[in-house]
Amino acid sequence: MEPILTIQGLKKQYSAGTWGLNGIELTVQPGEFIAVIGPSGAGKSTLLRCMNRLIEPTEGSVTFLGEDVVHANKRQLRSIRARMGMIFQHYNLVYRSSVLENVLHGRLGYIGSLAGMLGRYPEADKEEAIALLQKVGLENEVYKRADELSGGQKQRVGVCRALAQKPSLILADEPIASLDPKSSKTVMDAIHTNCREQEIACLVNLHQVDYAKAYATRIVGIKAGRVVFDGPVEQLTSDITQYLYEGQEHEMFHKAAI
Amino acid sequence: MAVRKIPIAHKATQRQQRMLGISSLLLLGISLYCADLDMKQIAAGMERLPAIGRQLAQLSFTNGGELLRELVTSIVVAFLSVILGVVAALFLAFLVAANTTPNRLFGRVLNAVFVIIRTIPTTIWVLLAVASMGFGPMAGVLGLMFPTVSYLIRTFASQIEEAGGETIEAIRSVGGTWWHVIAKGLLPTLLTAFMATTAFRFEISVAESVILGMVGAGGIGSLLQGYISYYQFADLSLGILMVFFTMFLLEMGTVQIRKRMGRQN
Amino acid sequence: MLKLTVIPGGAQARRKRRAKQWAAAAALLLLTVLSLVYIRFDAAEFILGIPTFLRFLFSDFLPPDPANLQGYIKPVADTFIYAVIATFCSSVLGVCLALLMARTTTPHPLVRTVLRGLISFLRNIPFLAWASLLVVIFGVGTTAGLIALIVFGCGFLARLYAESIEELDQDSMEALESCGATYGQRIKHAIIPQFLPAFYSWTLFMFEINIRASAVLGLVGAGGIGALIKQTMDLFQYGKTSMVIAIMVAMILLVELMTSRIRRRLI
Repeated sequence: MEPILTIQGLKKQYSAGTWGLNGIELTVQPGEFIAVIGPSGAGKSTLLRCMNRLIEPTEGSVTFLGEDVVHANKRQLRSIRARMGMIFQHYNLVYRSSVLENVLHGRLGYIGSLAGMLGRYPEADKEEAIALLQKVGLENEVYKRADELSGGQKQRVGVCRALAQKPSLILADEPIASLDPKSSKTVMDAIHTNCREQEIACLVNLHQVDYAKAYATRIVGIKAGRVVFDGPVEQLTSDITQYLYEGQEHEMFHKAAI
Repeated sequence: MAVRKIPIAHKATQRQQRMLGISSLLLLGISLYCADLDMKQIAAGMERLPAIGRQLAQLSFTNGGELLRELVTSIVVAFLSVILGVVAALFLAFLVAANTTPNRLFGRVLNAVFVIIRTIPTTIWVLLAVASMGFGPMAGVLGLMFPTVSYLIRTFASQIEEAGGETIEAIRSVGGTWWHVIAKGLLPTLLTAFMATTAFRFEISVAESVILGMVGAGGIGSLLQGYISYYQFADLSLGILMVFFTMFLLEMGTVQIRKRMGRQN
Repeated sequence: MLKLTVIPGGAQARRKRRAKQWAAAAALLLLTVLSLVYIRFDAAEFILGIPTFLRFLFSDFLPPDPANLQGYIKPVADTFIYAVIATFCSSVLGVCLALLMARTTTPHPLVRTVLRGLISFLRNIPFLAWASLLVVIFGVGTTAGLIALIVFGCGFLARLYAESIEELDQDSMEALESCGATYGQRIKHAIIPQFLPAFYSWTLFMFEINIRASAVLGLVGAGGIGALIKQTMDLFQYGKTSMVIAIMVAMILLVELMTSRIRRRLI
């Protein structure tokens, strides 16, 4: 099967000498649900942001659906980004806009620049956005302002925004790191179910190894900017997690002890 | 075929935005209707603009010495008004601040007086001072003192009110008098904050002082006004540049001071 | 924020600090003395001048002369009208400039640097100097005053707006970028909604400043209520001057009351 995303030799250098990423190799197949685990500072977040060039990689190649992401021009990049949804740790909503508007932002990559600026979304897009919100249990919040919602609700709006893009791939950067256990489960379920049903491949950065094991079909372990583990959930032994979080075990236990 | 559009915005936010938009446009419309804007005057001015711009561009240094001397006068006037102002304000602020005033009613009345003083623009105070004392820098110092003192009082008083609470109680509880509270408790505590405020006010006072000459209080403003009335634009541009650099350096200076104060706290 | 100052370090550090404080105080004193000499400050004349000034204020100026009140209506109305027009124009121009010069929204760092220099120049030339120059260009009257208000207000607002924009949460900009939104779309949907409260607040502030400024404009021949102050003073009709000043104070306080009301109701 043709992979959705191929990453080869991806490097990111921050200030002289500090490498955020140090030669990442990764291939994502359609419909996969991949959890990226590793201690904080390992480069998980940088990796995700290099895939849609929110951060410019220093070296290496990223290929998304056969297109070269690293050398894409402005227009190509816009179309690539439109087909890659992203979910953020801090939800990144526009809090003074309505919930529905926030979901519709996911459609901006598909409509003309001016129409987008004027907020002229096609009626079909609006209907689908409302349907998405209903599906994650936010049917009563459609016209609320985003700052009126609770954390878990905000993240569900973030999930809907990513889904509204009708993406082939969703990048989720620590989607549940700021949430309580109950909301965490709701949000992870929302991401998981929708990705399954619509056959969207998904890369989720996670702190929590137990969540990774519960949802992922494949796990990628990252340490110091390199992939140190890549395999199905069953192969992730406690020795490997031990090695991943070496010196930072407190992080793993603290976060995992839910 | 009429398809009902699905609304997307948050209703109350949108309503408020619309109301503000419509009422401000309405206000603008009325204003434009009532204003007797003379388009011919504007057009004539625009025609004159390039010529004056060219003249301004011919920087002349012939009056540099005179300009520099008067610029220093302006700064000195601002400096003295701030120094004298701080002395007066330090005393008065403790009378006005709600938690240190000896008498609530007295504090309020005093405060109201200073609100009115503050509302009258500096230029008018200087105009009044000039009318009574005659032209010259001393009138400038006197005129500038009114807004300076009232500004400092307001800011000092709110700083005292903010910081007061515990310090005042602590000193009162061991039997300290009003003077003890102020001299031993509040002044040392608030010294850095007061100094930052004063530095900031100095910047404003210089900005005001350079224009005071335009209404007859000495300083670089009177030279600038003279150059403008006699169409000496080449000299004017040097004066404007000098004022600009002074203000720029001052701004940098006060930013530095505030940064340092911030670090200390 | 403010606690009793605890000086860190031992006795030596404390002594060093003390010495520094004394040096600063001495320098300040020296500077003051030099300043007094520089402008040939005559302490006796100054101190005697104060009672003269107060007598002048209370006997010549007060009470205000209420004659010919309807003659003041037009200048007061003019002040409002020009403040409205100036605020509107400078806020529109100011927003455009601010978006171009805020670190987070500028299309190119060079644009930011150039604009910042220009705005800093506009802002640091005193307002009255602008007004006076514009009176020469556009002739005596309210037109010059209006243009001065717009030029100055534009620089003033651009800086304040730009600072507010830079303080905004960048997260939603990032999110919209990740959706493939264009520059214009990001500005419209991520920046504008968040920026609006600051925008309203600063624009109202600008309106207050414009009302105050128009009192000064008249002094250099640029119309408004200030022209009345100069006129009456030149004719030694001090009672009328104080009436005009009283009207002006009332107007400014009223506008402040109004704007603070509006501010409180913003959501």
